[in-house]
Amino acid sequence: MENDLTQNEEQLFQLIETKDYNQLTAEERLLVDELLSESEYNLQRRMISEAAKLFPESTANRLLLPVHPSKTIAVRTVPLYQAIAAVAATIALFLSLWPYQEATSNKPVDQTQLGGIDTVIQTQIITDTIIQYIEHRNQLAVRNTITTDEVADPLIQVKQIRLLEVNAIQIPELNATLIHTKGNSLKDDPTSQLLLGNVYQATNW
Amino acid sequence: MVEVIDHHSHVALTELHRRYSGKLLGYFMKMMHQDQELAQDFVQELFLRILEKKHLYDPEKKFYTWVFTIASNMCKTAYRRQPMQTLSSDGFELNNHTHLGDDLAEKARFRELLKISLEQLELPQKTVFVLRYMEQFSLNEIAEITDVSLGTVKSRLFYATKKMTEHLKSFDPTYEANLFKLQ
Repeated sequence: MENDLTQNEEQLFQLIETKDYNQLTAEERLLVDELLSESEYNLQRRMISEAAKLFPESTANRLLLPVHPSKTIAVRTVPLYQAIAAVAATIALFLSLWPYQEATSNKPVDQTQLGGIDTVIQTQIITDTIIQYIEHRNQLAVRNTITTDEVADPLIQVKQIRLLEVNAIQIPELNATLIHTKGNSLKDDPTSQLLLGNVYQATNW
Repeated sequence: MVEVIDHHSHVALTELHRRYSGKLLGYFMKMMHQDQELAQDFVQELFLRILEKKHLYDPEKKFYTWVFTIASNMCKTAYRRQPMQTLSSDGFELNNHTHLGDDLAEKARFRELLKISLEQLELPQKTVFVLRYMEQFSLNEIAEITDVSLGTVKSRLFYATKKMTEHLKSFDPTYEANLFKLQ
C-alpha cells in the first residue's frame, strides 16, 4: 500500500482526478480499461467530486485565550536547541572548574593571608619543669681517655720518661732547702698555742 | 506572522482564528468521526499550541500548511491514545429517504455511504483523502503536512479511492448499474 505506484497506476490516478470517462482519448481509454471498468472509473470520479460537499461548513466556537499567556518561567516552553545548549554549557563549566578545585586543595595554606584574619585564638600549653642532669664526670673521663690515647705515640712516651728522670735527680742540698719535711709541731708553735689556748679557755675543754 | 503573534498575540490569534477555525473544525470533524464537541475542543487546543510553538514556524513555508500539520499530528495522537471504532455497514443505519427515481434522495444516500466508506479507511489513507478531496490541498502540500514523500501520497490516495469504491459497491451493488442514470 505504501509502495510507489507503477507508471500505469500513476497515469490512471491523474486521469481520475482530471477527466471524465467520456473525455478520455482512445489511448487513455485503453489504459483505463486495463485497470478498471468504466463504471468503476465513473464511481471514483463521482466519489471525489461528492467528497468536497460531504460535510457542511461549521462555525467554530469563540477562541478562549488564557488571561496571562504562559510567560512565567515555570510553564514557558523553550526551543529544544536552547535547552541542549544550556545543558552543554553547564557541563562545560563544571568540567572546567573541577580540575582547578583539585589542584588548589593540595596547595599549602598561604601564611600571608592569615594576617587578615580578625580573631586568632591561641592556646598556651604549660608543661612541668624538666630537670636536666648533665653528666660532667663522664665527659671528663672521656677527655682523659682521649688524652691518654694521644700519648700512645712512642716518641712522646720517651719524652715523658725523660721528664720523670729529671725529677728524680738527687740534689740533697736543694731538696733540704726547698722541701721542709721536718717542721715544728703544731703544739710547739707559739702562735698556735696562743690561738688554741684562747679557744680551750672559752669552751672549757 | 510569528512577529505579529509575538507582539500582539491575542489580536493576531483572534484574526487567525477568524480565518482558519471553520476549515479546521471541518477537518477535525471529518477526522474524528463527526464528533463536533471533540472537534471544537481540538480547534481551541490547536490555537493555544500555535501560541506556544510559534518559534517552530518556518516563515519559508505556508502558515496554512503549518497549521494543518499540527492538526494532522493532533489527530494522529488522538488515534494512538484511543483507537477510533470504525463504523461498519452493519451498525450504520441509512436514512430511509429514498424513493426510486428520486435523484436528491439517491444523492443523499450516496453521501451517507461515502461517509461510511471514509470511516473504513485507515488513518494514513483517510488523512490524505480528506486533505486532498475535502480540503483541496495540493499533493506537495499533503506530502509536507503528513511528512511523507510525494509518491507515498499518490499511492495512499490511489488505494484509498479504490478501497472506498469497493466499499460502496458492497453496500449497494446497484451503484455500478445505476451510475449512468445518476449522472
